[in-house]
Amino acid sequence: MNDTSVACSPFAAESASSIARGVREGRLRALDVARATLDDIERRNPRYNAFTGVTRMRALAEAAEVDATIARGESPGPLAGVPYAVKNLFDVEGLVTLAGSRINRDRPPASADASAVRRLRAAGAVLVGALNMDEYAYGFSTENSHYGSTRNPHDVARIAGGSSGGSAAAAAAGMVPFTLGTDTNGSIRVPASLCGLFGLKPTYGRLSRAGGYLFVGSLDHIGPLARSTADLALAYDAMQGPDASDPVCAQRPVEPTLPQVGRGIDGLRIAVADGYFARPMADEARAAVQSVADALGATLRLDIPESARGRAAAFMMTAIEGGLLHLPDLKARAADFDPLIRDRMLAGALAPAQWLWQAHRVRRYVRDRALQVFDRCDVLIAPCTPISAPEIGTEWITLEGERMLARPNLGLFTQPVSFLGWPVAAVPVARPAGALPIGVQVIAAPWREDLCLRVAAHLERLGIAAAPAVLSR
Amino acid sequence: MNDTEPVDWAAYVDITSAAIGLPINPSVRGGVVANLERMAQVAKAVESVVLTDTDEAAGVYRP
Repeated sequence: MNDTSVACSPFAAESASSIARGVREGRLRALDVARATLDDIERRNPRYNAFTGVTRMRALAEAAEVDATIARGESPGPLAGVPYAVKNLFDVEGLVTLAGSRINRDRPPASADASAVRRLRAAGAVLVGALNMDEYAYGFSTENSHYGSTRNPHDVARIAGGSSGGSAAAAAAGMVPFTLGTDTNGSIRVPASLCGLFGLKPTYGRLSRAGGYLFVGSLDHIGPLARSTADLALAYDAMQGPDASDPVCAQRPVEPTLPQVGRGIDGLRIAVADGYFARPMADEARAAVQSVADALGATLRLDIPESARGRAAAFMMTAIEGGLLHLPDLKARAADFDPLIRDRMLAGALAPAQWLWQAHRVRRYVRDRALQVFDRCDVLIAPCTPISAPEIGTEWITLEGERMLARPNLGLFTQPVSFLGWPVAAVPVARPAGALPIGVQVIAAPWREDLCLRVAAHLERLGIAAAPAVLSR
Repeated sequence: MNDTEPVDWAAYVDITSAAIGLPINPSVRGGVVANLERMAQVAKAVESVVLTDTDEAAGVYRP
């Protein structure tokens, strides 16, 4: 990390895998890693505004617990001593779960950790804080009127993307090796693309969302963001497994992906998503898809049927379910909502029931048709965001002559895929030093996260994918 | 609701907000109407899917 403005932690460029190995082998003490990480966050977070809360006491206690486990000769877990942070919609015992809002600040602190946080702790990871987001996850930019905009570590005049913008900025800046985000319509993949990170949106229902403050339960996923595929797999594997406290979480056994990521792409049929996914996009987005397709030898182009109507249905479900979830607060204190989302929430709460019901029925219709694409391929490459990070406050963009709203259209290419619930890895495409990052989506059939990660790791080995170092701007 | 009869979304907002007891501050009413108009555009794509009586919703409830 070449973040020249302020000295970084000695662990800023370290991967989760190497920290865990060092701690397990006794070369590093988890407590030293935690202290250095916390000091680093204190020094550098003001530049990025990624954290809304730092859990110093808890982090030191968890790190000491890891060191004590090792001293007893017991296994500290695969994430031993690895610092991480979570989007502030995950429950963290003793912290108020803000979900990016002013309203939820009035609630009592969480009495228990979210399931994902519990599982990561059991794996030896050390929680250092909570991260900024769009209010109630309703946005793609993390321009939060209550807690300020999160700034992109690659150019602080630009957005980090959203809604998991704090999660992306914290990992991209090297303050922690991995973070947790959530993805309803693209909220892991959009900030991963704009900040140059690997991100995994697993299959809908794969990871438990229990203890997370949901936005649109019908579409919400959780997942990790990291600077390498191996770290993504390490964090993802630690969170797998059924959980009766999330009604959507599938009864599936843990299917470890870390042993799979080195397998390469032999035998995989890889295609480029066409049709809807060839819509207007900036040159850098088109070039990113092309360079990945070339590296993978992917010449077949396939349409994912019904993507446009799928996106429309996702838009409906989001606006209406999101609005109705917050109806009591919209009635009592609408003025306390972020002005960037308030009118959309109010409109969603008033929409005709038919729009929502039709969208839910259309979802199965679209699913049945879209799945046919996997008759001809195993993995699809698609653009992730139509542009690289715009400047904070950007309202409009023009793509190939078409003028459109900037914020909702950051999710143009991600929204149809989360609607389907398919697993996707966001993969940052290597760019010239100083160029803004941008990613592609690596998409597979339901429950085949392993294929997304195998392709991502292969691209990393080829040097086609890489999380860029932060150069101070 | 169809293309030939424009919907008065401002009137719709007034009626439905009263019906469910959701006060709409005059300062945001224009924004809410604009959002519903946008939703109505998007809804056309969703409603254009021809479904049969046997096309069930994608629910997840399991008893």
